[in-house]
Amino acid sequence: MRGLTAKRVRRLAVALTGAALLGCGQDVTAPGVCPEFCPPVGVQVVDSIMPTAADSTFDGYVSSYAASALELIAAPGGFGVGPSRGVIRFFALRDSLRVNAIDTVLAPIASTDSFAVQVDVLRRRADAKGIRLGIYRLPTTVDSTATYAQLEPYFQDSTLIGTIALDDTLQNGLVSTSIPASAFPGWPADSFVVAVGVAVLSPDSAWVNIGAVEAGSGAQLSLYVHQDSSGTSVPRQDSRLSGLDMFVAPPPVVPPAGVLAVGGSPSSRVLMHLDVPSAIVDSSSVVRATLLLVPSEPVIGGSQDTVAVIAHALTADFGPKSPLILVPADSIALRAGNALVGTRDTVRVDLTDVLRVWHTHPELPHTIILRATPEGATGAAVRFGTSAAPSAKLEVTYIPPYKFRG
Amino acid sequence: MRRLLLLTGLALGGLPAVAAAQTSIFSVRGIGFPAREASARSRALGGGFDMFDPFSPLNPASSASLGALTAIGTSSTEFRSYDANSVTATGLHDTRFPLIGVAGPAGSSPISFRLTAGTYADRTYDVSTTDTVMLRGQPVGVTDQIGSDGAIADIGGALAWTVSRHLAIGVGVHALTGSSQLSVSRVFGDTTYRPYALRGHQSYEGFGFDGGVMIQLTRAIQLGASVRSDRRLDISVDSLVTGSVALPTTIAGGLLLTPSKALHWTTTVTRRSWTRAAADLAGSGTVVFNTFSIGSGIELGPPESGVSNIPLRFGFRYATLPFSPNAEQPHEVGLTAGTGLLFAKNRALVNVTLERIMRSGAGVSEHVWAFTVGMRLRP
Repeated sequence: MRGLTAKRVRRLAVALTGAALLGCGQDVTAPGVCPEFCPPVGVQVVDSIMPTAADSTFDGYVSSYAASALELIAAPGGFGVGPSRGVIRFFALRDSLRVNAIDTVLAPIASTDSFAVQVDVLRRRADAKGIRLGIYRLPTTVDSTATYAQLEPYFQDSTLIGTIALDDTLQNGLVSTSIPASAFPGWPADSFVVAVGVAVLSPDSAWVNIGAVEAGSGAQLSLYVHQDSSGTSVPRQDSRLSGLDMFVAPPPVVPPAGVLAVGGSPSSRVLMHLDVPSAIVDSSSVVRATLLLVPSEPVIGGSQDTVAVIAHALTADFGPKSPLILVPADSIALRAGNALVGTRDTVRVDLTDVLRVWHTHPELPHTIILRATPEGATGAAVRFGTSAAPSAKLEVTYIPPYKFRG
Repeated sequence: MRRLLLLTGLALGGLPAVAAAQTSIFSVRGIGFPAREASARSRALGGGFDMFDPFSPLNPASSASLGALTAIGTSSTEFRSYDANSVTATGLHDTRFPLIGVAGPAGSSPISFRLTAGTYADRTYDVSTTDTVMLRGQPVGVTDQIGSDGAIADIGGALAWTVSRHLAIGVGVHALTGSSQLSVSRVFGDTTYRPYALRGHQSYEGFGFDGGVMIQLTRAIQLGASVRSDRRLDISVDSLVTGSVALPTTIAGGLLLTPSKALHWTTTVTRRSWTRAAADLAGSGTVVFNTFSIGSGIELGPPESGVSNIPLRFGFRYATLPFSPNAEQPHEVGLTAGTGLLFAKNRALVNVTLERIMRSGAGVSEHVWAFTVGMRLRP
């Protein structure tokens, strides 16, 4: 080539392409002028309500000693449930400590000054005034099999070793109280173990939920002592977390056989089969699905408390031991249906993600498990319908298959 | 041969990028907005040069006028606004590549060839609407978005035979292809309803053929005429045929006056029988009309004349549009101006065109500024 070589041609082509691309970009999004200048087929949304199929209740999933919180209800604070007490047994203390952090040898405790008990208040009845937490001395032999009836004698004035007054404005946070050393005179003889009971002291209806060690917010016991350091008595401190924490309450009234129940402690779950047409699950796009639970009796639990009910899809239907598809922690609040204690309002549990999982994984069984969240942490429960006559309904809002027009 | 391969590669290398030459509110209707497969030079002349432009797919005989192997590429950027039924949209813009091609004589024979890729109809739109629907007994606000991004492409091949100094004839074939990415979405004002979105792939398949003639009556008068017949366009969505639309027959004629070497006055008239598609589009509520267009322009210092390295062009165009939502046929009027720059020993030519297009009808008033850059390379 003369004059215009292949190299020049390439340069010109690159320059032209560059100039064109400099102006490249697109913004063609415009408000529609309908119906004249809108595509003729719109998006249709369909509402459908359908009954649920067979349901069953299974008990004993999460006991209070394995729950993430302890529910403490004052004597007049429950609806359908009795008062409940917290039981905390701390890990064993020691009779000798390091005087200095770098010491390799432990030195004996010269004298015990006091103890302190700290608990983490998670929730409380917001409108209750003048709440106090009473700390009681319990026998160190207490374990997870203890019942309310067995422990109730220890919640007396004679065993009250400290109280924590909750500020009326405090809704959650750490609270503590100092307990004299004389409160646990036999702790060295008890293998250095200390156990306490916690009860809500309130003239009015009240309840408080405190943290459990299972959720990393368990109670803590602090020991304040004096030790000898080269002839000088120095103050020192040691701490222990709870090795056992649970709550005990009188057994609730047993519902009639066949009644479906979610919640309580130990917790109950409902296994529910849903007969959703494949035209909805497989072919349509579900934009919202809600399970409507109509309580057959007022929700039981701490007065003015709520019960959160959540639904899980299952990886396989093995009945009560079916493996759950877990729900991300940050979306539990969005999916759960809340029931107010003492009412029979319809509980609306979001099932949108469940039906969407069934859409993308058609091999999954169309079965769900309903459980309370947090589970086993309160005695609150929702009872609805029976296995023979389920009162639950499923409301699905979906978009049928959209067909692009040729 | 290397030149041919190089230029063919340059011209057709961007073939998949070919998309709509224009977008318009009218793109929503019918098979889309019929595009103009025209070079920057012909656009500057109001489309009046379409019949004689060696790269215009309108006339397969026009490539006979090329004396050497040549390639062109065109880029067009548009800025658009419209008013329709109290709805005003401004700031819309897009860039497309409306025509690329390579053409030239087959050696020393009287046969010339041409390969082009252009846009037959634009299918690009993105419409957003709001509404309120009743869900579970409650009113819920919704925002819908329905879009299509793509075009029906026209891949053309033509052969022209220079019968004599006064007569050239040509025939061509056209493959209609291309695709659009379809999308639809709905977002609910109540966020407990999840957003909905769906995508689809729409593809097109059809063909056509044409024939044309160019007659040099005198040194100053040249005539051109062509007929193109396009068959049915099959439309598929996600590989399933969802529709078929009859395409029009196009009849065009042109007049090129050259009173002096430094002046061209050129006019092209076109008529398309779009009503053949009326039955196929009736279900969508689209009213179909036959279309007529006339474009005319004056060029001072045409590049072939050697008079000037910087030609000046002015043009005017009027055209009716085929698709409407009601019985009123829309139309458009365009005023154009452009120039060019010859360089590299006249082997390269850059053309720029500015168009002001005003469309109206069917309750719409649409205004467009279009800036087109074209490059012609001749080894």
